Amino acid sequence: MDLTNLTIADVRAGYAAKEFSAVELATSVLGRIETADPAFGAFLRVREKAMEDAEAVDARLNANEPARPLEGVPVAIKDNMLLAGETMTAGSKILGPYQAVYTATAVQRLQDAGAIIVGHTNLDEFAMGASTENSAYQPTRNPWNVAMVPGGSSGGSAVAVATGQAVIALGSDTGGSIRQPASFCNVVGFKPSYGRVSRFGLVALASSLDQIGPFAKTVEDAATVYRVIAGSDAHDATTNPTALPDVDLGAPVAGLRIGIPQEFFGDGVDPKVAKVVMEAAKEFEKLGATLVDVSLPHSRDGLATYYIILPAEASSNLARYDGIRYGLSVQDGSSLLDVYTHTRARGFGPEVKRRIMLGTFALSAGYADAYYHQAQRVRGVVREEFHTVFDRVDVLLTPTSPTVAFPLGARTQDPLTMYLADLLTVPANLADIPAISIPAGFVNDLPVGLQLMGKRWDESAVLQAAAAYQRATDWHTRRPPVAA
Amino acid sequence: MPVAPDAITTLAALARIDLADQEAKTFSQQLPKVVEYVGQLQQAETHHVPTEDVPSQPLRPDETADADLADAMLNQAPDRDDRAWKVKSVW
Repeated sequence: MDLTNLTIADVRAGYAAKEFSAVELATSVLGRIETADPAFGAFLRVREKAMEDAEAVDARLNANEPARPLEGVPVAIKDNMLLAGETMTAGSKILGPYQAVYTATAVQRLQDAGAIIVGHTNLDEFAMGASTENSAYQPTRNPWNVAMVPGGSSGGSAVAVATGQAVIALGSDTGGSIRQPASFCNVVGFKPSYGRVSRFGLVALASSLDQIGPFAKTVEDAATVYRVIAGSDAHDATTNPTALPDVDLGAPVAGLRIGIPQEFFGDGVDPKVAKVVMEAAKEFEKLGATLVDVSLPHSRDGLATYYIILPAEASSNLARYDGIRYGLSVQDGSSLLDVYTHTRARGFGPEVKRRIMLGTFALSAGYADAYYHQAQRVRGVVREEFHTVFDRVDVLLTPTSPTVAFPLGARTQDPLTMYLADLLTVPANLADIPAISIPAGFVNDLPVGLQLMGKRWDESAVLQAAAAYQRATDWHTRRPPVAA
Repeated sequence: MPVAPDAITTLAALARIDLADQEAKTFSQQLPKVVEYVGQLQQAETHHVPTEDVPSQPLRPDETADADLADAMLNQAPDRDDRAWKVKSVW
């Protein structure tokens, strides 16, 4: 059995049939990371304790204890999620290194389900970026073409799954940071509704937009991980306290109403990408769904709204990195103020500084009403437009990204060109709704992702539609060429 | 709304970041373009949207509990004095 191309079901079947042990699987995964990852840079650190965890899994399996949902499944976590006792960098130098003093709820739930965390993946610094080029440590390369970016900010997690270096990975999505790299790397990336997955232990970027979600090779695996990590958490006041609904992935899509919002296919979207996605939409018609033309006029303002709200919230959330309680602390000045200003000057990369300053601007006296408060008003209208459209349709179908993966270095000089990568993904974060990216084809031998969005709390409709598409197509089974 | 030339210096001071001269120069070229782009929102039509009724966590009783994290946290202090973080004088 090819140990680098397993789904969760394959892992469980392999253990049940005693084809391999958890230690053998973990050894294979860690070995692959050692030999293959230098070409991609997906991992920042491999987790030494993974072998211990694998031994514990084997002990349980040999004692015939019932297998938990992710028993012995190798998973990778984006390096902005805390795991007690282990280093966390957030892709930045300002943390110092930092040793986590508690474990993020989502990560704890993976461990409680039996998952083996094999390592911490690369990201744009503090999750700010769409290419993983803003990492203070290393770039990550797209396994479909190593001259191209993997997308961001969860580029490391996307590549880890795409290259078989982990079966599952966790990422975080504030403006598309799970969905866009999933699209660039030909894997599934799922962002649940805001409030479905606890943000406790996730490094805060924009607290009204951040969500944790899974990367996987299949919708089925993404749904399994989603069910493990999602649900009420007393540590996060913004989580929905009601019980998580069941998801029937086998539900047929006959009769499903799929909205095609015109604003997501026009200006700024590569016509070749739009064409691939419209062909994918026709697959849904063959399955009995109905395509409905819709319009979301204020979604055109989504990017501007996002690039006011995000920097504003980030400037507040990143104020804590001040050289006082942990991390980098530059003491070469004479005053306390110097500690703050020198630490932050030395510890933050350029994109982080840019966004903090933008946020400071948008919140400053004389500008706050025209920028920050106006953005909040527009956000309310965007939310309302999505709410209304879901009276007429069950899900929306769009491209995930305006383009396929672009070359490393192509967008680093002009920040605005990088921000445009988020054009089609930010509306779902602004509207708090669930959204998934699934493989749908190729342009110039680079993957194209299809995005499905649903009403808030309706992860079921999104996952069901995505699963139906994967039963009818095989884009998601394509694997990139990977050096052995 | 154009950003004043000394705005970068003011913003950096507000954000507690000691920008190097070259950085300040680069940002003063890059940031106005972003501000101009997001400034288009001022043309956006808005109307009052009532607040959404969203389920949220119930409050817990106001009781203290010991999380036992103090040592792990203090061990990472850049400078400490027994059980306190040590900092330069505020004055």
